[in-house]
Amino acid sequence: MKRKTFVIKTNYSEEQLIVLLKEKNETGFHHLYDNYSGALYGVILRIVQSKEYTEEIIQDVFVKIWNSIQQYDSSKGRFYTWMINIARNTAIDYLKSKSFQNELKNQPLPDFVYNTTELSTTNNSSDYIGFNNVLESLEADKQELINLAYYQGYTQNEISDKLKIPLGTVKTKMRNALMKLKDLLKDYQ
Amino acid sequence: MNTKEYISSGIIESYILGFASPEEAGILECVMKNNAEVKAAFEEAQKTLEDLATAQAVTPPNDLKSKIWSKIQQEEIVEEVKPVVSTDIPAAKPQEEIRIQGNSNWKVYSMAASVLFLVSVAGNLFWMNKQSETKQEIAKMQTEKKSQDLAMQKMNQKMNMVSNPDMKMVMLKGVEKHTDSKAMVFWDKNTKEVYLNAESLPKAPEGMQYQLWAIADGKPVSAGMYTEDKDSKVALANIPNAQAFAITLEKQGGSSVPTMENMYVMGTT
Repeated sequence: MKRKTFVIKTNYSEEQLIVLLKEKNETGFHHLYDNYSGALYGVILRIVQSKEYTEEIIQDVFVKIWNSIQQYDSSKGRFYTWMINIARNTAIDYLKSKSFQNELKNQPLPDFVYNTTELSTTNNSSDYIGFNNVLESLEADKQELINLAYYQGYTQNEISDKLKIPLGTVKTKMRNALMKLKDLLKDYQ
Repeated sequence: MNTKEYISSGIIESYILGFASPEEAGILECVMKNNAEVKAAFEEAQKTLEDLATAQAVTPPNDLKSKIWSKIQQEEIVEEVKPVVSTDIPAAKPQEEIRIQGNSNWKVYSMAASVLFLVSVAGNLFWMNKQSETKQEIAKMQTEKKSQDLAMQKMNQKMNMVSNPDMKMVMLKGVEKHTDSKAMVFWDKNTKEVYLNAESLPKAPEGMQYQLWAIADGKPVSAGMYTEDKDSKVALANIPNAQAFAITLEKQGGSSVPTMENMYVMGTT
C-alpha cells in the first residue's frame, strides 16, 4: 500500500493520454488509473456483483487497455467509451464463463457491498441491486432494459424473446431509455 | 429512411452496445463521416453512458493501483526477453594468422579490409532486403487501398439508396431451408423501380441465377434477374404493385413461374 507521492498531477487531455499510453509511459498509466479506475470499477462491480471478482477482472481490464491501445481507433468511438466496453465485455464474459457459473452454485448470496454512499439508499428488495439513484428514477421498463442490455449482456434478440416485444421495438425503446437517462444525468451533475 | 428516422431506429445505441451486425456497423461508420447529425447523436449516446459510468463510480481498494502496475510490468519483462543476435565476424581467426606471418602489416590491413568488406556486403544485403520489403509493403498497401475504395464506393451507393426518402425498403428473410439468408429490396415509390441488395446470399451455382419475384394480388410476377454487378445499383424491374417480394434460384435467364422449392428469402411490403 505504498503511496506514490512522486506522481505529478497534471491534467492531460484524452488525446494526450492516448499518446502517453501508446508510448508505454508510466505517467500515462497513473493518469489513466487515477481518472478512470473508479468508473470502470463501478461498471464491473455492477455486472459481477462481487468485490472479489471485480478486483480480479479490473486488473485484466487495465492490462488489456495497456496492451491493445494501438488498436484503439478514434474514428469508431470515444476513448472512454472504448474502455467502458472493454470493462463490460470482460466482466460479462467472466459472468458467462463456466468456472464462474460453478462458483456461483457454492455462493448463493451475492456479497455485494452497500457501504458506499452512492448505493446506500437503494431499494434492497428490488432486482436492481447495485443501481444508484440515477437509474432508479427511470421507469421500471427502462431500468430493466438497461439492466439486461448493459449490465447482464443480453443481446437484443434475447431481450426481445424475454420481454416478448419485437426486435425493432427493443431498439427504439433502448434509445428512449438512454435519452431519458441523459436528462436524468443532467440533473444529477 | 431519412436521418431522423435512421437515428431514432436505435441503430446508434445498438452499435455502442456492440449489437450491430458488421453490415449495420459499416453503414453507420460511413454515414457518420458524412452526416453531422448522425455523428452528433453518436457522440451524445456515448457521452450518456460515460456520464452514467462516472456517476456510478465506486472507489477501488487502495492497493489495486500498484497491483495492476506490477502486473503490467511483469508482462513487459516477459516480452523484452528476445533472442540475442549473434554476430558472425570471425575475430579470432585473423589473429592466429598474424602470429604465423610475423609482423608483416599488409596482412593485418588486408584482413581488416576483408572484414570491412564483409560487413559492407552484409550491410548492403540487409539494406536491399529492407528496400524490397518496403516496396512489397507499399504494393500491399496500394491493393488494400484499392479494395477499401471499392468497398467505400459500394457503401456509398447503398447509403444513397438508404437515405433516399422515396425508397421503400423491404427486408427479405430466409425461409425454412435457408434461415440464415437475407436480402433487401429497395423500391422507389416514385419511379416504381426495384433494386436488390442480395450480397449475403450464397454464390449462385454455375448455370443458375437468382430471380426476384413480386407477389401482386397473390400472383408471382418476375421482377428481374439478379447479377452481382447490379447489386444495389441497377434497377431489376419496374413493379407498380406488390404485397411481397421473394427470391428463388432458377436456371440462367430465369423462369416464367418460380420454382417454389428453390425459394431462399421472402418479405412482405
